[in-house]
Amino acid sequence: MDAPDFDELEWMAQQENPFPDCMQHSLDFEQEHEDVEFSHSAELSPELIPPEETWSPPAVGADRKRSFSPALEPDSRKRGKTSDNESFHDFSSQKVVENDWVLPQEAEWSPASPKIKTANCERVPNVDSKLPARRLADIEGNFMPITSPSGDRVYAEVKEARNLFGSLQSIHNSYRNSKHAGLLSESFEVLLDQVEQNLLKQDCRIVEGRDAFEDSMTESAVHEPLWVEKYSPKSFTELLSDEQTNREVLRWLKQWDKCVFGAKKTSTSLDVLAALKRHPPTFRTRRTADREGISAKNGVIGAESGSKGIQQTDMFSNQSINSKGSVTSSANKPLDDRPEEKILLLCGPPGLGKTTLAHVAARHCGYRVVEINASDDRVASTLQAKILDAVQMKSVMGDLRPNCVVIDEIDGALGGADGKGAIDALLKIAYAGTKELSGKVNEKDEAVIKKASKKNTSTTATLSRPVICICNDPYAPALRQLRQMAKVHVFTQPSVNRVVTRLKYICSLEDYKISARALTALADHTECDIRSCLNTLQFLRKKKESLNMLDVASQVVGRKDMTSSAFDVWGEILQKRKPKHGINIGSSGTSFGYGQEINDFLRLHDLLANHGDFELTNDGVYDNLTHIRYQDSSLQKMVQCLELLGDSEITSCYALRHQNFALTVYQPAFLLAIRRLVAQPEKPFMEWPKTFQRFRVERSAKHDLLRSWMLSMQPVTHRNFTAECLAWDLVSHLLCILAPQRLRPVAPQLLSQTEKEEMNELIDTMIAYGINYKTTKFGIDNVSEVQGPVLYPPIFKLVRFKDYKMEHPLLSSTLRQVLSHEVELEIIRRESLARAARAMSIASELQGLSLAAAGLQKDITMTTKVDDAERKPIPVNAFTESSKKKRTDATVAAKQLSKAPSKLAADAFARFRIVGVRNGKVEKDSRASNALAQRDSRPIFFRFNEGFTNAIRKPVLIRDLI
Amino acid sequence: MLWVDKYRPHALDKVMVHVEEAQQLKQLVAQGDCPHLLFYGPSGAGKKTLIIALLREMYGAGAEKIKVENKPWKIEAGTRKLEVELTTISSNYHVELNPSDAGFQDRYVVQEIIKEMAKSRPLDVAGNKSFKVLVLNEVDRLSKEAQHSLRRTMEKYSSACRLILCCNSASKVIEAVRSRCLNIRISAPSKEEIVKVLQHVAKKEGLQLPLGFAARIALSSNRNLRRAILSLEACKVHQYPFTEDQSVQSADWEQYIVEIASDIVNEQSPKRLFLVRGKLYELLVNCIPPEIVLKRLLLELMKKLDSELKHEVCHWAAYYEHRMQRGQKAIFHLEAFVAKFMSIYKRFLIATFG
Repeated sequence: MDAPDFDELEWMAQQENPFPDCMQHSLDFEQEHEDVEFSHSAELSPELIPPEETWSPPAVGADRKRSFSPALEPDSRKRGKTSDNESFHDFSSQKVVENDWVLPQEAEWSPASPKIKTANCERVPNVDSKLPARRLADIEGNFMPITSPSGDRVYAEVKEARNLFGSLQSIHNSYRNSKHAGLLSESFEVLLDQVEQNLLKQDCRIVEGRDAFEDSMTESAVHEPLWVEKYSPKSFTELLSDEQTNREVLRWLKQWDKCVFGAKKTSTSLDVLAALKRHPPTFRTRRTADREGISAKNGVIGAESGSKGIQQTDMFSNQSINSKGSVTSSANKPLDDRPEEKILLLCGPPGLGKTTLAHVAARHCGYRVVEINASDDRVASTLQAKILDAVQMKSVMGDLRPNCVVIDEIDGALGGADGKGAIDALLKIAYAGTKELSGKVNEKDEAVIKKASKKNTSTTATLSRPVICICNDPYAPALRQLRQMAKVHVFTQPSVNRVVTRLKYICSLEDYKISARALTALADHTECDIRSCLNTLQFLRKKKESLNMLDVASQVVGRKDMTSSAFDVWGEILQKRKPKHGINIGSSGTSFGYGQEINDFLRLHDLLANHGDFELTNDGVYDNLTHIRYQDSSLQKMVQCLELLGDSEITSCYALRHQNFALTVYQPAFLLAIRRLVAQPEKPFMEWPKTFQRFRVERSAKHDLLRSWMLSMQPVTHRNFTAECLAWDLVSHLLCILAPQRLRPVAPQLLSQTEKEEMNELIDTMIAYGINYKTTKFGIDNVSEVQGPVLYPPIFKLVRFKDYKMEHPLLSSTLRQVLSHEVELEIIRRESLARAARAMSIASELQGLSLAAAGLQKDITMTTKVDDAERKPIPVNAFTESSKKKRTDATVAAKQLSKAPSKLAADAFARFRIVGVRNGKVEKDSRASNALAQRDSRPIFFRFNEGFTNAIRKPVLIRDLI
Repeated sequence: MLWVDKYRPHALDKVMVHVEEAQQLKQLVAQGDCPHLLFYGPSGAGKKTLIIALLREMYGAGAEKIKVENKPWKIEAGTRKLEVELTTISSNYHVELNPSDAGFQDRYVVQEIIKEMAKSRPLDVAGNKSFKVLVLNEVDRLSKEAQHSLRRTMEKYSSACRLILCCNSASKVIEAVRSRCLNIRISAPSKEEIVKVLQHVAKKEGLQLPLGFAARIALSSNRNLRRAILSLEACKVHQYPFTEDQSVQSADWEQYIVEIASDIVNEQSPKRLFLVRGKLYELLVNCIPPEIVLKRLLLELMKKLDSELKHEVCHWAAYYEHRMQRGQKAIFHLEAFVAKFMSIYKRFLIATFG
């Protein structure tokens, strides 16, 4: 038992050089003090108390603990300094006592010795006398000053503990546990590696009685922690990510200090801790206030608005009024100190250490990290609840640090409407404070209060803790809002060197021999994704294999499923890459060029197949094909390329039509064939293929135009055409026909008989095809040169081609105006005729009517004919019905009559226009009813001032109009 | 009214072209019944005119009282609810519609709407026919599924309804449908027939139409009667007392294709190809069917071609048109044809002129 262990000896041999004087002074001392340190930190701390109680007043324990801990820190760094050591040597001469043996010294001093015996592992101050000496002179040799709470100072002589059995084992043990904290010097790593190797070899032998050892051993044998976890950076300086980003993140976090910790802090984590100690009271009030605020529904709002106006308080319960008092002071103030952007958004490809940075930075600034990641349910409501919990509550268990919320993988799981809701909720929380506060200031009325109380279920909480969001793709649609509001940091790839250095370091820690070249290749392959690198290495290590070049290229090392952008794909097709910088991956056996080609082919095939969107790829290739310069004198290659594209298109068309999607497999082949034909070494100019899309849009616009035109045609003409016929048979001829050049631009009255006929025909055609001239506000797009009315529907658009001069003559502006006028008139005339004919037929049907009544009714129908409301035959019918019923009732008829003028007034113009025009115009056909003729025999002349619409105020008697 | 509409024959007796077919049709419906009919033939040949005249023959003048309706139809297809907007032209006796307007949802139009229409018997108004007629336009543009769903409808509701199908190419109508119909081919009128019609129109209008000019109009119309009459009217508007050597108004897109053709012949390079592509896009944007573009382009190119090459170029035009029918992106195949032509032409130029 007393015999030193093998490991112990070895360790001592190692330690010989660094600590010569220690060794000289006392070998035991060195070991013992190490022992103290780690037994304290790693082992049974509750059991510290009993021995202390036995030899000094209870409070001393606490004192000692305090004086003890600072001593440990310098110790770890300046192990060689004996002077330091000696000062606490006496005090800390304690040892770990194993189960089955007893210290010889115990009997000497301790009233508590029986207890110690039973204890599993205890610290025993190995003091010479039973009571500490009052005077320093009483003690020879080493001593330890002890101050009691009452202020008495005593000195305890320290005797060297002779025998510290088993302590070495625990040294190893604890070193192994703590080594990755970055506390060790180089030499220790070597030692550790050896230890580890030994342990691996003889893990069955070590199972004995040492619990702690055993635990960790089995763990290392069975579940070795992932290297990614094991070697993840623990402190800020170890971070692998870009320095600049790190600092930015840290600075942002620091901006919260004022809000979270109250005072302005500039500091290290120690300072932060100190600040924490200083500020717990404020936290406590905040906490209680928040709790109350939540329990009383309107709490926080009440609190916030409390300072603004009392009038709202009557809405809230007493409780909220109480809470108001306590919160106003604490809750309102810190919110103003929050940084401009309340949310930090870290984005970048996977494996660069975004999450690690967030955690490390948050911890560095003294926050407790609350992580919400993709594995959690993240719909709006739960997310909101979680964030609120995190920012408002505080953990009850020991950890007093404030929370910092890290929402990991925010883009991944947040697809769709749910995701949108969640982001909205997050933003609402983040920016609620500012908006609400500003909104409250000037709005006091009831409505606002109602709104506020309605809103408060969702927006009560304001964010008072930092929130860090992490995502891969900052341009995910769900994140659009967030991107604008948050502070965004994009991670860039660390340099390969940096990654390789770290990998090498870790490999050396793990004692895994691997060449730098292989590591570089690995880092290259994974695009500096350190997580993937480490996982790969660990996997290989487990398999006891070494990494070589071949592995990296082959499937042993998993390739990330890399999604490449469409531009990359087109680039790959159209650009011939130079043979890859010397590293001829996997061309085993075959000649260089040949193997290269095959590899290239396979790689491209995979790339294309993985990209998947062949239509887009084809379009891109098609659009960019003509920009490439390649040797092709008689356009043979171009023909082949286009044919291949056509083949590809036909194939996909067939696949879609017959739902035979297995055919898609062959799609990459077409593109590869094209590549063989046209790929050039220089970088091609490329642009996104917009032409086809644009073509589709424009075409559908034209198609819609055609359809709407068809609908405006009269049925008789409509049935003769299909939309396509219109476009390619009719339009251009129609445009010609619609613009007879012989027609003089004069008023219709001045036209000769034949000209009038021609014009009438033209009007007839226009009506049949539903076309008219209309004045547009700003001329239809680029027809700016055309003044006055233009054709509507704008069918001239259908013959407008790029670089093509339209030859269709246009009528003069005045003529167009005249025409538009005439067409409208003609339409109205026809309608009125149709209605008159209908009315006549109805009238003739009414057999038993008295002449007067019939006349009256006809008159009324005539007077109201221009009225829009009277278009349909049904009203007319109803009207005649009613008039038939009440034909004896003269008053009703009179009322109808009196109504008529007012109706007329709305459309007076049209009516007058008809009359006016009619006078100057020869009656074209004899279809007019005698009613019209009768009316025309008593014309009304008036002057029309253009541009002044409601100008006619002339009192007109109905009698005159009849 | 345009002359096209004005002088459209309304009765089967009055038609000037396809007189024989008209007489057959007349005999067909003389007994008061008729089978399903499938009219096919190129555009502007007179299919629609014959159909309208036939309807009039069957139902009298009442069939000409038509109204146009454009309304959305609600269709429940399984779990989905679709809304298809469809324009129908209907009289008391018949309904005309263009099911291919519904695009890829044409199947539902056939399955639901047409079936619905076919099911209901017309009210026997004045002791007339006990069936009504459904006129379906552009059946060749219906998808295969839609055509298949048409089969059963045609048989099942044949007691209440006759279908008159109308399309340009019978080869795109599935066999099953073709065999259920009486197929009537309406060929494009010959030049002589067109000249005759033009003379007739001119006489009615009281115009002097020189024979040579009429022949040239007929030639430029590519045996499309509608186009011929339209261009006659356009020419009349342009310059009335007709002269022998008056220029015939051709459509804008045709002139544009002439431009394209000269572009192609003048230079053969990728750059020029890119320019031509842009122009072809322009044509397609303006709803000119790609087949017609290709055909016209070929005709224009032929004019400028050495006879040695004509056969080869025609072959390739046919080849690419076939590919175009199989695919969906017409522009790919049109451009492939242009590139092919350029390649052939350039090779020829180099071989001939060195």
